[in-house]
Amino acid sequence: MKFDPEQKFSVQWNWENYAMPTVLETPKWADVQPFIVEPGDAIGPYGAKGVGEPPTSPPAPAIANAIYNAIGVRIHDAPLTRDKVLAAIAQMKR
Amino acid sequence: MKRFEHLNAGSVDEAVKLLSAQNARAIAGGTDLLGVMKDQLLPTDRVVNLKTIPGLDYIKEESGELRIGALAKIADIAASGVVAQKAPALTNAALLVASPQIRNMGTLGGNLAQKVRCWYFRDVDRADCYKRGGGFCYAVLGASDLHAIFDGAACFAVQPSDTATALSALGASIVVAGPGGQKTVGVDDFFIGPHTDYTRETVLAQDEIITEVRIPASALGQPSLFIKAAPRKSIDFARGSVAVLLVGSPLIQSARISLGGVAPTPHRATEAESYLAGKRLTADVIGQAGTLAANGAQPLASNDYKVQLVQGLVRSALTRLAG
Repeated sequence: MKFDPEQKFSVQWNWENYAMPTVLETPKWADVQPFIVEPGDAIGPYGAKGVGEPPTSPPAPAIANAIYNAIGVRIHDAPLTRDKVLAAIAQMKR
Repeated sequence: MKRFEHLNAGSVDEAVKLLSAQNARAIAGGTDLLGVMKDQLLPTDRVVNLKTIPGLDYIKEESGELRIGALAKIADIAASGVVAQKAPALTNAALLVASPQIRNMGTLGGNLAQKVRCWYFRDVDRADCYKRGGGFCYAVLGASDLHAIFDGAACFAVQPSDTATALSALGASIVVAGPGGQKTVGVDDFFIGPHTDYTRETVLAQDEIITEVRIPASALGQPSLFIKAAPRKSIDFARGSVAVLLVGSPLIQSARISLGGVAPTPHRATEAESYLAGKRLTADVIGQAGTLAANGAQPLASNDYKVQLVQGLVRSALTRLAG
């Protein structure tokens, strides 16, 4: 979330500026390899487990790790946009 | 939303007359005006519907020029064979405007005359912004990621129209109708920066409307291209964009380069343009043209990235035209 550093309020108060990825941002299906793991959940009814939220947690750290692996800089501020990566590279060169 | 009066205009003359009332606004596709009204960014007492004016949505070649009526839909321009063949930069730009739904509603006139997307201007609570009639710019000390690196003063909001950038490079002109009749204004004169008047983005007075856009014979059929950088592959407004028109190959006679999303108006990269005249598009020339395109940039606190963005966009566009 982007804040006005001077006046301390969010400038991303609508979907125009707080942009969610669209279908065009998803990888091609051919590049996605699903692995279905079926161990059974002890708490869920008949061993069922929710699959809505678990996939939302790993991508951000995975992308942050990929950036670290590529350029050696840790960015702790999601989303990891191109301007932040560019600024991190510039910082590193200094 | 505040109450307002809605009137259908049957002709250009009638539209101009109806627009002379206090706080009257023209509407066509409504994809920009309704957002402005809903957020009460500009006082609106009367809405004059231009869609009821017959015969203003043409795309045709006439007197050697390509002429497009102000009510032509962005989607129709994107799909037009004659535009793709004669002025490909405009096809590229039209295809990159917003989403299919908005392109089906939005018109060329409206795309050119839309208000800026600055996140302070559009914030209901920031009524003291210069563009809203106040005397303050939040972007100067605040979050300036979206803002101008060229030609800012008082207000630093950027020109959001993709078609404006393309038409600037194509050397197009805009026909404006008002109480005094018609006038034709070059695209680069149609848009005005904050040095002239920070409350508006174009020369249009309240009772003037765009009726036509003309692309001159000198640009028709010449290689041209528009590309844009945005957070996502669709929907978003440009963080930066570039349109290039080249005349002459392989030796460039003249080049026109216009930048969008980085200045209050379409910004001509004149140093890069004159550098390219008389040259061939080698890797060195392309690299140097990119560097020159960002000359004169004065970034704010958080839009330094746009300097490199502009250089990269110009190099990408020239590389594609060379290939």
